[in-house]
Amino acid sequence: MMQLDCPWCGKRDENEFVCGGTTHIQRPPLSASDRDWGEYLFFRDNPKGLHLERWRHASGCGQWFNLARSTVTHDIVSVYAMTDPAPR
Amino acid sequence: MNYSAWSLLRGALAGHRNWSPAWAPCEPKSRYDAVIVGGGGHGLAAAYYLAKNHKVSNVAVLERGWIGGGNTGRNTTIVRSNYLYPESARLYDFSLKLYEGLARDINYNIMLSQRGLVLLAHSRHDLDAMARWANAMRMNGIDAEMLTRDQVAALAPALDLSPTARLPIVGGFTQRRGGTARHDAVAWGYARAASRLGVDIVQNCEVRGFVFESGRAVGLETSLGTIRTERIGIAAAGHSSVLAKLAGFSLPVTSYALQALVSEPIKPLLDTVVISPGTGAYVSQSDKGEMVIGAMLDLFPSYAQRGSFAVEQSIIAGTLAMFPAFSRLRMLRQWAGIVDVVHDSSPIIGPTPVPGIYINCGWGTGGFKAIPVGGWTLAHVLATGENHPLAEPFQLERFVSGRLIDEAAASGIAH
Amino acid sequence: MSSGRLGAPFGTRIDRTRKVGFQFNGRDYQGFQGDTLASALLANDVRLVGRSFKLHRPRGIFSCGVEEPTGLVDVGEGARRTPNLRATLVEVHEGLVAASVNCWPSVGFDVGAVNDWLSAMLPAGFYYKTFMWPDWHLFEPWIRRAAGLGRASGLPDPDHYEEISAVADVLVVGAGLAGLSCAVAAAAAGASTVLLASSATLGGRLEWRADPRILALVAEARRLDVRILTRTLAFGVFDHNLLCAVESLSSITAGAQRPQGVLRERLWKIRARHIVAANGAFERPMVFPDNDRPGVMLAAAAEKYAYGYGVACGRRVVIASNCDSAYAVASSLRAAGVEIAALVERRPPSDVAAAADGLRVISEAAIASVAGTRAVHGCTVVSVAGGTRPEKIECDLILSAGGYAPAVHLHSQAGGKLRWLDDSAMFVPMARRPGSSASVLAPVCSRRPTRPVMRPSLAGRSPGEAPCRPCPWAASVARSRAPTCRV
Repeated sequence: MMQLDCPWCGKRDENEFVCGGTTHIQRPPLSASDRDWGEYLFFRDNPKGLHLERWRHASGCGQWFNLARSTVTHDIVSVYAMTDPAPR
Repeated sequence: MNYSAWSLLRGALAGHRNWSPAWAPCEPKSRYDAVIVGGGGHGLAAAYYLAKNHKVSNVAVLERGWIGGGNTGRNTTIVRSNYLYPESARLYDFSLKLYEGLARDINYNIMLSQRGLVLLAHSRHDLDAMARWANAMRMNGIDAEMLTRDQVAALAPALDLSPTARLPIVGGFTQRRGGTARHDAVAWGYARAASRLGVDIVQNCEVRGFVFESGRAVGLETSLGTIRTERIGIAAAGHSSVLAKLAGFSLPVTSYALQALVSEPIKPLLDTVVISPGTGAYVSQSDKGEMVIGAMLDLFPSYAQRGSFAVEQSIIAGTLAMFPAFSRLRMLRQWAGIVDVVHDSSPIIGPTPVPGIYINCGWGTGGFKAIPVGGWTLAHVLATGENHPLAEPFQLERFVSGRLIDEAAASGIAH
Repeated sequence: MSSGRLGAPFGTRIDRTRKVGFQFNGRDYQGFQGDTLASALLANDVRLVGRSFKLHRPRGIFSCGVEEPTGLVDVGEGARRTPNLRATLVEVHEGLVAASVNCWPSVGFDVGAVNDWLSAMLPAGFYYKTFMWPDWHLFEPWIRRAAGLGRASGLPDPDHYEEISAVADVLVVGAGLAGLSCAVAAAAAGASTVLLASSATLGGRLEWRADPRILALVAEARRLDVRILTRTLAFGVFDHNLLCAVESLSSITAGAQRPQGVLRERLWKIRARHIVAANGAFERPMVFPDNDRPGVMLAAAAEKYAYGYGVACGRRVVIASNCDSAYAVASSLRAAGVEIAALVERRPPSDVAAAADGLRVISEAAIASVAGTRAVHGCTVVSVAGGTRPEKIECDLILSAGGYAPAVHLHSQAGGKLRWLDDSAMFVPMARRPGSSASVLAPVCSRRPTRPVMRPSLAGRSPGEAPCRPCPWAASVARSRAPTCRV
């Protein structure tokens, strides 16, 4: 069970959180094509390695934040705000 | 050499020194008519059906590790075809019918045990939803029966049927043709049958890239050299996105850990497969005596094949809510697979945006029951270039057109 | 006193003033407070304890600890029936009821033994090669009934369980010499330290010997406020160094008449910055035909039964060996009044450390066969080099001294890789990247005379000598404020 470092509440066990999937995905405008909508809704990189994802502290403060985590080792490389850009 | 009781007797007389290898280990050739990437059940079945149905035997199955070492070796061995939509019903029931004749077909005892599948209803609403589900199955020609509480009790007396149960049981429904099959036997049986028809099975061979000519895939770069071929079939489950990226296309797949665990072996206590949509847990007892338990996904992307302890606790809690007697059993082993989940919990079988590359993926948590049909339909499209009618509704395009076949919502089974 | 029992001062763990009555397979026996079910059965000359999984071969007690492969029993009745417990880990209490597994109608006369006669037809995986005609369903019920070991009760469990979390700077798994040293060093350097011991007493392989080093370390650990959990077995390491362990509470020690619902076990979830696996080593069996018969045991186990439990597992012993540890066991057992008929040494005389006077050593030899199916009554020894005639030796106990291999289970479960050592023929943990959980090996016997080998897997530490010196690695790690380590 991972331990996530919530920016507001500190280190808490993973089962207090809900994973919101890949982060930094921009919703296309409503005028976008079916193909663009389909790609936005469904297609994902699904990397084997470093994944940028968003989490919500559902059983805590309820806030969203971003994480850079390895999907292989589950090491968490960094935690950053929803409004921050992707780390290098 | 044919397997039979007679062959065992002959083996006994020869001190078991006369057996030929079940499949011939080999280095890959430089050229094949078709190459399948992924040596799990789906890939091996596809190779077998390519040779058997389509007489294409100049085929290689490339497996990064050892055959059946991925999800095929990590599932809870349940086979069933209780899906809601007609497209799914046809697909999965064709698979179950293939399982019914498979042992004779490939001359390998896959230990198909059609001991029935019982889904528990914990409320009046569950009963209503299950009646709809059972009716849909019957309309699609698949066996399904509603069960009263007493009938559930007769099928699985170890369940907590008391009024003080955490999740009281008010009834359920069953597919009597559902049950279990020995997962390793399915992999090894298909491998042996394919090998006997001339297919090369290559282990410890990792695909690292594809070779393109005029926009068409004409070969693969592997850890054992370059292999040229006309058609490539990808059957790599949780690693589908990794291969898609190497080939330059995208998939609507996310890979998650799906855990399973087995208890110590005990004398028979449970003679059917029990599934509780209420807790998400499913339990059966293997022929060796172990309780085989699985449940919901770990809900964050993972390729680790380990699983979170918090989810393992939920799985066990769900199991004990159904079977309080299991509380004193020790769990012997726990592990996870890498399941390729798509949003509508239905597979993707057919061509990809890259000419020459076809894919069979997206089975999520439900791939084991579909090994025969997955192999059958992938073999069909590799051999003919046309989708098999069963696979036609399950194309990559549906994620753009919106024609999803949403079994996640429909049959309520966590995929 | 039953024939298997040795007089005082043997039996440091038993209290001869407190007799305990228990039942095994419906018959009444007596043991002492402190006995395990295994030691009490051996003291009562009960050799046949169970049957093997497939062939239903007669099986007995093989070891004296957690590595017991064959002495499996169902303990308790009704809703408290617990299947497949290792008799070596069950502490006897007044009124304990236990039964053999996987046999019918009895362990002495088991219908399943017919499988052993048919064993030639039942090689590994035989069920894949047959049972296809007419239908697997016809054969499946019989296979299922023959399979499985113990029997679960099928009734709801009346006992309670709780869960508790803890946090530590350094978590040491294993309270033998290495583990205690690490815990003491870490605590002395200021780390909050937790130490887990799977058994009731501390000291690992030395726990029954009242070893002064152990006693000193335990006293020091308590003085430094190391949190020590006994009867606590670590079963897994999970993401971000979460170690889970199960602590056994009342079920093992309570009397038969217990109130409704006792607290039986406690699940510990311990988040640690550093985890040290100091799980010790297991003795390995020697390989020879029928080496699974009741009356074939591990050498150190026989020594522990004699000294720790006051039980002679046999009166005339043959020891099969390929390493030096067998000679110490031979001396130990002779001091307990056990006759060593021969020590069957695999190695040539040049490889062997000096043996004790009066010990008959047959060099470059191996056991070719075992006489007796329900209980060993002899063996045949042959020369490996050839030239001499096979020799039949009468004995009622054959001990295996195959050398020690580290217990790498926790390391492997945590995702660690293993490395093969050719000269010692064993797997050892491979070094992990710096900053993550470490593994510390207990001293193991090598086949060459004596240097204990301790191979901590972090860089910068050379193989040390006796590990009772303070463990500098543990101290430096405790002092560091390094980033959170990973599994």
